[in-house]
Amino acid sequence: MSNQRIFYNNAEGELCVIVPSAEALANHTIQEIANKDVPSGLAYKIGTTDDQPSDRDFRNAWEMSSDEMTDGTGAVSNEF
Amino acid sequence: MSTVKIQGNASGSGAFTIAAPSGNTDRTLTLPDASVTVGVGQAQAWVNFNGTGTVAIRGSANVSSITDNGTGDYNVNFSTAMSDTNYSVSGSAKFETSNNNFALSIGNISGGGNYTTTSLTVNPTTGTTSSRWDCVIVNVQVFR
Repeated sequence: MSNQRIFYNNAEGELCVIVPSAEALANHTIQEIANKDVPSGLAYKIGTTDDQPSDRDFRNAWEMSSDEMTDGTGAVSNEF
Repeated sequence: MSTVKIQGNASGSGAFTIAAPSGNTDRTLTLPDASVTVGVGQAQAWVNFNGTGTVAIRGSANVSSITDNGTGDYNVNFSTAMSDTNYSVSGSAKFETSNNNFALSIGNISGGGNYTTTSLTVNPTTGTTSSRWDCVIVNVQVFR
């Protein structure tokens, strides 16, 4: 099970965390998954589970600075 | 060695197509040791994931990822898009510390969710309030 994660802030500024599937990672790079599944035009960061809190009691208060999201932006298409 | 035979249908003119996967890994279609008839309504995608703690996918098919949007708020992202949004979805959720019967709200559009050809929003709820809950087991199946 991969600990790779993709982070982006949605239009409301809420932190969203993408969990890639094993089947997708077997056929595509994490960057390709990010380009597909991050909404179009939103900047993202590729990281690991170490980059996120594990305590979900305050999940909706999780934050990550947009300055950290420099690994790419979501593509227009949501398909590989 | 067994033989491979593909037989056309004399009463129809439609083409039969076997499409290659979009990835770079070879795939093999292995049939069971019995005659089978493939019917309509096969699951087009499914996923079983842990929606608590460090969210993680236990198993899936035709799911590229899930998106953790917040408490009890997840997107299921399809590897290969559905042909349209007329697909059918079923699912279930198990809360970690109670025996409450959790329902799975599907495609909560008014709540900012998706019900598109490429992704679907699911929200575990108790069914009695609009609150969303993280659940230890979330199962989603998509049929078309």
